[in-house]
Amino acid sequence: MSTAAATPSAPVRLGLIGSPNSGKTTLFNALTGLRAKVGNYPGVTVERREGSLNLNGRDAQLIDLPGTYSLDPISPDEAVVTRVLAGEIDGVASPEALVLVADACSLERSLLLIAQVLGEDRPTCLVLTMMDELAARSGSLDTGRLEAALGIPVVPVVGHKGLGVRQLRTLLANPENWSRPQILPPRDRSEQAGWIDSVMAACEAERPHAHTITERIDSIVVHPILGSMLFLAVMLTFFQLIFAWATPAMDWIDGAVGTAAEITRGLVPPGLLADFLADGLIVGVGSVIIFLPQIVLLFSLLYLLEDVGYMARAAFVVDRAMARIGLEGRAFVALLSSFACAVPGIMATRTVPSPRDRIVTILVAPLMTCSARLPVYALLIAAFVPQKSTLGPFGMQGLVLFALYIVAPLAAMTVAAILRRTLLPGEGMPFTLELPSYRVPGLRLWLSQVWGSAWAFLRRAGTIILLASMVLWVLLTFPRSEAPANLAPEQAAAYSLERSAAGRIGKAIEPAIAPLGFDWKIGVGLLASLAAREVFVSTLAQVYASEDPDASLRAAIRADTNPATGEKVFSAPTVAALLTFFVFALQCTSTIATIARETNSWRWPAFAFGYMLVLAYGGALLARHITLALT
Amino acid sequence: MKSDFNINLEMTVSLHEMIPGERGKVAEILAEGPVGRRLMDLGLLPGTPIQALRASPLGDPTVYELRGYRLCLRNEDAAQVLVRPEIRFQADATTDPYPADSAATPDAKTGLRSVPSPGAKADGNSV
Ligand SMILES: Nc1nc2c(ncn2[C@@H]2O[C@H](COP(=O)(O)OP(=O)(O)O)[C@@H](O)[C@H]2O)c(=O)[nH]1
Repeated sequence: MSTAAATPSAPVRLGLIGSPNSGKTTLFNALTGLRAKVGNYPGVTVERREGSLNLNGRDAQLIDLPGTYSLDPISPDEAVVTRVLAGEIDGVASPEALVLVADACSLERSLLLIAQVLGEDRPTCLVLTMMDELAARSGSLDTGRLEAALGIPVVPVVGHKGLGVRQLRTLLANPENWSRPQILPPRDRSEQAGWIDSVMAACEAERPHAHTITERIDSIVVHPILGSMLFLAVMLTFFQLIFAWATPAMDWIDGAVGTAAEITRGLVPPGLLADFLADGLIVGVGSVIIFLPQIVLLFSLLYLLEDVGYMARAAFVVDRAMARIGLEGRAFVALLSSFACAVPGIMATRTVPSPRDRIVTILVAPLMTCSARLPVYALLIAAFVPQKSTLGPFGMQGLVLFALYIVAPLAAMTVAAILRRTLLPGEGMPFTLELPSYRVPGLRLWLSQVWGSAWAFLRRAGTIILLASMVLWVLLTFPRSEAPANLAPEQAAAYSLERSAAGRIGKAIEPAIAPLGFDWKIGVGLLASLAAREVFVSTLAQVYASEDPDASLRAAIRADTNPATGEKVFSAPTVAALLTFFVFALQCTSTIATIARETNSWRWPAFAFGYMLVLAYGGALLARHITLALT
Repeated sequence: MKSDFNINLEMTVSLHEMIPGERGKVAEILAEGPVGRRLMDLGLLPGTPIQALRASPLGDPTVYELRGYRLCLRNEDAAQVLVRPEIRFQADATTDPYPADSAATPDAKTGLRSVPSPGAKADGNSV
């Protein structure tokens, strides 16, 4: 192939196609140098990645097609590959030439996909990755003979080291010159096994030895006893790290947001503009970046475990348990992560390949007891569960908290099982999971994965979260009413809050929440907590005009009585109902925004909000009446 | 002429019935339609050599090695695949000739698992 041939000027569109774990992402990064544009394909949950590159003076567009084992799709998500190839997706021109990526160590398996892709009859070349591993495992194959056997150009590479990438770029510049197969491989599956054998024989493939390190590690990692213990240890550490390590950073961000707001107030004359900048804009931005520590930590650990090869083993170990609730092993980590925060948890469902499994996981993830519920639980428990009361050796306060933590995952499992049997039955497709060889993870790939998730969150969910928190600020601020001059600042704030749109909404929804024992003040708190659950606490503090959200707020809500009936507003049944409400309700715009972005529709977030509201209301009503009956 | 031993070679079992460490060749995919096609896309074509490596600690799924990679299948899906085992211990099927621990520790040199031969004629076992 001569590179001196006249280079046409139009950018050539190349499609990168290969099975999962073939090293496709590494190759994409090596070719495009991380300048990828990421988006979604319309109507499905599949991520769309494209990058532009310059090949010896010729512009090219590289489309990273989703990893697939076959061109015979079984779900709309999988059909993306065939639809892109057929040019059926608006705005995505069909690639003119295809770049197949296959792991040299399991070429034999990849030949099935190769056979199907060759059947597409368009210029195709084959990139063999993991050539270093093939050699290390004393395997070999003659790429020249493989070229002859397949009738297409074959380029061996070592993706993470960039070896062979220069040759590949030269080749990619001129797909017009690529050799084409004389005879296409058989389409009939019964003939394909023979064809594969003949290709393997033709290229004098010496099959690689079993990866001894992998075999040794696996004898521990999936050992019945050691493997289970390791699984528990890894998951506990994982959880502990995202829970504990993220907290200092989140506290720091919280403090920085407060300082920034104060500085702004110092610079801008008091008034609406200062309020908007300090309470609306800065707090809004803060409510977005507060998620970054958890997201970055979670995905650093997740991708590290994934790139090393442990994640697949974890899914293998836990799959049986997850199958009970109709999910699969890969959903476990997402659900576990949701105990810290549903936002990264929902993003972590990307590792679940089946779209329906993924949606079920996304829908139940917000039920997990995330850390934002804790301040609400802490306030109510501290205020209303007597510190001294005990049940056996256990303090009552701790027991209530424990119960709240336990109920949520039980509910999640039940909901998942019900969804499986009703709205989202399984696709009836076999559960398949590949256990890759253990590898030393590539730093570049890892960094790009972590950066990719953080950026995806900021760009897609962050904008909605910012918008939502500004809307809430507007509701809590307008219409503005001048408090009588003789009121203390706290009382003035409470005065204007009561007359704001949020206050009015709180009063308007009072009849609806009255059966739960909630009054309009709790209503305002619930509305404000849509920004983030813990905002419930600070809003109550504002409503009750208390100087601090701790001692004085506790005293204030304990003392509050209903002017009409003279009864305590926060009676035991009301508190039980309120706690139950917070266990179930999807009081979190950030989660809603993330669901919308990850499922690429507003239908699923609406559904999640709806079913969780029903659970919350029903559960709260039940909790109230049970408590009424008991006291 | 069929000895007892040859009759055993004709026998097929479901993939999920294979003992950890046991090797065989795919004989048939029972599932039709998309499920069958997907299993074949994963490389389970008739004639493909396959080896059961080990079961998950909870008993299901099981990981198999075929065509140079390790694939986990749940037992319910593996039941859709018939295999012709290389050797089938009939007399004493309860004795696991490949304890779970040794199963995944193949001979480092050859990458092959040494197969205890059930008698003199171990060589004639390949189907
Ligand atoms: N030894 C070796 N490892 C590679 C090579 N290419 C990719 N990897 C590693 O293989 C794993 C999977 O690669 P990735 O690009 O994520 O595969 P994808 O699932 O096809 O996108 C990662 O841990 C990579 O670092 C290669 O040529 N040689």
